[in-house]
Amino acid sequence: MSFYPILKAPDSKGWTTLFNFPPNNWELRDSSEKYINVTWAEDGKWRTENVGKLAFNEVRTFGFDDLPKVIPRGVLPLLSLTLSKLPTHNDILPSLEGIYTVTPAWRATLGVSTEHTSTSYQGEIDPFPAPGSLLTFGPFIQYDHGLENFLILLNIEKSPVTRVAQVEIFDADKIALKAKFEVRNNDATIISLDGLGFSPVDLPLIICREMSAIPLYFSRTSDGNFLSLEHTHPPASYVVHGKRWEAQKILKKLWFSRLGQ
Amino acid sequence: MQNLVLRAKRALWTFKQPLTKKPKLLGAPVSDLFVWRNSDVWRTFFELTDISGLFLGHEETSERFATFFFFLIMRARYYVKSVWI
Repeated sequence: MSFYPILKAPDSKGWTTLFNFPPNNWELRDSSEKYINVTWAEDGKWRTENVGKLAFNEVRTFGFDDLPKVIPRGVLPLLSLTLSKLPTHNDILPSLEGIYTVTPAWRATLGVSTEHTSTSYQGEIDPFPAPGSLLTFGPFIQYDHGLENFLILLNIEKSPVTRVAQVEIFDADKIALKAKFEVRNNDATIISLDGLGFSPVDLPLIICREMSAIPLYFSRTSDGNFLSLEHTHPPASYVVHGKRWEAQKILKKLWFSRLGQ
Repeated sequence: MQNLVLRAKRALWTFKQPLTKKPKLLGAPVSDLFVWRNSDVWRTFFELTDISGLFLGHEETSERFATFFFFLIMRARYYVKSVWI
C-alpha cells in the first residue's frame, strides 16, 4: 500500500481522507481492520506513531491538528494503513504490506481547505528512487486579477536524510529560463508561479535533474473563496501502448539536452 | 508470485479491450467528456497541447488541427456539432 500525505498549501489547511475498502471488486478481496499510522522525517530518522484503527468500510479524515502533538510543525505527515503496527523509529522508510491494487491504485482523498471552500484529488505517493529527475509541462497557471498560482512538489524517498535539489522553470517554446528554486526531499515544496512573466499562451516547463516529485498546481483567489488543485502525470502518460517508459526517457533526454546545463 | 496472480487477473479485464485511434462509429468513446459551463458567473475555456510536438524538435513541428465535438443537451435530447480549430 502507498502513503497518503497531508498536503501543505498557502493560507489553506491540508487534510486527507482514508478509506478502508479496495477501489475495485475484482483485483483484491480484503475486509480487514487496519492500523492507521502517521510517519514523518525528523533528525535523520523516520518516525512513526499509531493514530488508531480503521474498521472495514470505515472512512476517516485527518488534518494536521488531528495528529499527535509530537509531530513538529512544518514536516510532511504521511498517513498509511497496515495490518500490523509499524516500528516507531526507522533508518529507512517503512515498507508497507502487500495490500495494494493497480487499476486504480488504492488512494485517499488529498485536499486543502479555506474557511470558504475546499478542493481535492484522489492520490497517493510511493518513495521515489534517489537521485531521480523530474520533467513536467504545466499548463495550469490561471491568469486574472486576484489569482495566485503555486507549484507544490511532493517528494518522499526511502532515506530520511534531508537533501535539496534545484528546480528550473522554462518557457518551453522560447527555451527561456524563467526562474530557479530549491526543492526538498521528504516534503511538499511550495513555489509561487506568479511574477515569472508567463502569459496564457505560454507552456511552462519545469525540470529537476536530481530529484523526482509529483507536481501539484494550486491556484486560489486571494480572498480564499475559490480554490483549484491539479496535478500532471509522468510523461509516460503522453503515449499509449508499447514501451511507454521508454518514451518518457526519450522525452527527458531530448528536453534536458535542449535546455543545456 | 503475487504479481503473477495480479497480472493474470488483470489480463482477464484487459484482454482484447477495444482501443482505436480513429473509431468507425461516431458514438465510439475516444475521450473524456468535458463540461462547457456557461452562466453569469462561470466562463469555460479549453487549452489544447500538441503532445506529439513535444517529442519533436522545433524545426519539425508544423500546424496541427483538432476537431471539437459539442454535445448539446436541449429538451432532454442530445445534438452533436463539430467545429474545426
